[in-house]
Amino acid sequence: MDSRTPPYLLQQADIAPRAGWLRRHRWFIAIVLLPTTLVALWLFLFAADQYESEAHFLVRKADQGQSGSSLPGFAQMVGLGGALGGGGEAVSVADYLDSHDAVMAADERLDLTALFRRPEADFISRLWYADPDAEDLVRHFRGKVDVAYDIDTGITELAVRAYRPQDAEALTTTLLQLGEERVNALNERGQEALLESARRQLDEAEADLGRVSGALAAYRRSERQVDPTLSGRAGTELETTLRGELAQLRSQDAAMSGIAADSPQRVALRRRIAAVEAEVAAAEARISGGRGLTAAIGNFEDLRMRQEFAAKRYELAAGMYEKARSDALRQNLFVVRIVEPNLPERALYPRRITIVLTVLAGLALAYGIGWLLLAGMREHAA
Amino acid sequence: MTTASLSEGLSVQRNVIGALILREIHTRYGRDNVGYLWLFLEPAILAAMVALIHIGGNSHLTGSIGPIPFALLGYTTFIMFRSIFTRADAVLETNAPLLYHRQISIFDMVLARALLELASTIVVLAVLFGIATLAELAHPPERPLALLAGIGLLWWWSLALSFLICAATNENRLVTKFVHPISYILLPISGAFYMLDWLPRVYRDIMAWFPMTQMFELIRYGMFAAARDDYVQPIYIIFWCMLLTFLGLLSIRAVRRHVHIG
Repeated sequence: MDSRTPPYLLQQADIAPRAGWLRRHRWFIAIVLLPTTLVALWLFLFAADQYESEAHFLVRKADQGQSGSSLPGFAQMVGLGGALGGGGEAVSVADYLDSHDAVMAADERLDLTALFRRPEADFISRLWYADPDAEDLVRHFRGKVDVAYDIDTGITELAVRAYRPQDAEALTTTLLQLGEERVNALNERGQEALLESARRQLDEAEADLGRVSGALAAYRRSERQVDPTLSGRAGTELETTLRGELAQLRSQDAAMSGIAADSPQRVALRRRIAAVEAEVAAAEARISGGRGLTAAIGNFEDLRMRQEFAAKRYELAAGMYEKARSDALRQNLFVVRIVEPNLPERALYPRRITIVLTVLAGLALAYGIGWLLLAGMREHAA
Repeated sequence: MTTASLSEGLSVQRNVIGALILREIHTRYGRDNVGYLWLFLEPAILAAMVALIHIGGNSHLTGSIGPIPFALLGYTTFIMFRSIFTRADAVLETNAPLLYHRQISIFDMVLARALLELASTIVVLAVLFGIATLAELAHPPERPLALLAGIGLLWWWSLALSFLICAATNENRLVTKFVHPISYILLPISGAFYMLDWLPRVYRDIMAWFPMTQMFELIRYGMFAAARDDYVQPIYIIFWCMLLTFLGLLSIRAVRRHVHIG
């Protein structure tokens, strides 16, 4: 027996030609032709049409040109680029649309189970359970809805397949709306958080300023003076003047020593000297005495500094609050629709010819490989 | 008769391949034990170099994929491809006398070598990643089945190509001159050392059609939690492998009678 001759050539050839052909190629028929035919029959006769609706959108920040990552590739390849990121907001909507959260939200609006189980759907591709649990629904949803985010352009492509054109369009529109709502929610939450913290700082600064100002006012009331520093300076000036006057009076007194001590002039002069001396002593006591000016000025300076500091802090907090408010308005994320959802007219899915050809080619190759392997195996036995 | 001869043939072939693997181990690693060691040292040295480069900044690639396990994984798996691919031309040269025995076929020789490479790659990968994991430079594989599937597909691809090369070199010795250059060209473009995500879109779309890039994406998807399998199309890869296997099997079958024995 020649091992190189394909085994089917060794079969006896005296059967009727048609039956002989069938017999000789029975493996090819069983492995390649039959399954392909079955698949083709299924696809062309029973499989339900699926319509695809598509929408493209971009998530943008108002103050940024582009929300996609600006540094793709090479720098990261060399390890210089750091983490791939920055597009967090942009990818958020795509991430959301692919999640159970979006599925549940869409289910509330559209009744996805009914949509995936239309009467015209075939029983292989439709949702298998009439009352699916959340996990099954999400899995089926992911099979019917493609969300593709492109890192370079930042564009998210949403493609939905359904058994009716209207369903496909409705689901795409709903998903887009859900995405927009989610973006708005994110915005609000972000603004609220930002404003909230700025507001709190402003409030704190305000309260602090009020407290210090109150303390200052109370101090002024209790000391009965507006500004101890000023009164201090006035007191010192007064004392200096008085001392000057005293010295002058004393020298006058000395100059009049020739005149009788009990002359009315000298008596009057001595009285004046005594009065001025008392004044000087009183002024001195006011400046430096016990609870006097020195201590008062110290306390006052302290309070005033605290007030100044609090005022500055308030000013800063107010500025930050204003900035936060304008930022919150400016840093809005929003969804830019690039391609609006369309109402499909012709069913593009399932791709019948492609699938049939794929199955045919795959099985034919498998058959060829199998045949070659088996032939090789047989050689060993010979 | 057919099934009986088939099972007999299968058992003979299994023995033949087993014996060929043993023979290969002896001729390759038998004399000096450093041969074994090189299998581990080569990727380990590369990993050390990569570690040195990255010793300064703690820049991570994408997310949780460290540069060291990244390079280690790419290199060890690429080595498997390279050694199956570039040694295919020598299969007939070194083993031709064995074809005196009619139980031994070219298929057996090529398959035995490829199986040996697969086994050694998996061992090397396990040992090096074990060490790296203990040193806290790497994590255990995130999706072991995907990792094995990726390695398996890469192995299948290498095997199919090596059938073709084995047959082609026998027909024309000039082919040998091209095998090594091709393997060097494939080093940068195979995707062993970059992720498709890193490429600008224009090039990414082109490169994603090359099955090897998808295989390496799948391997990385199996190993790293942060890797994604967006570009992997299993059916596409399998189609390529099947097509090449079919052509390869046909070609070695055609070549057998041209082999000059001795």
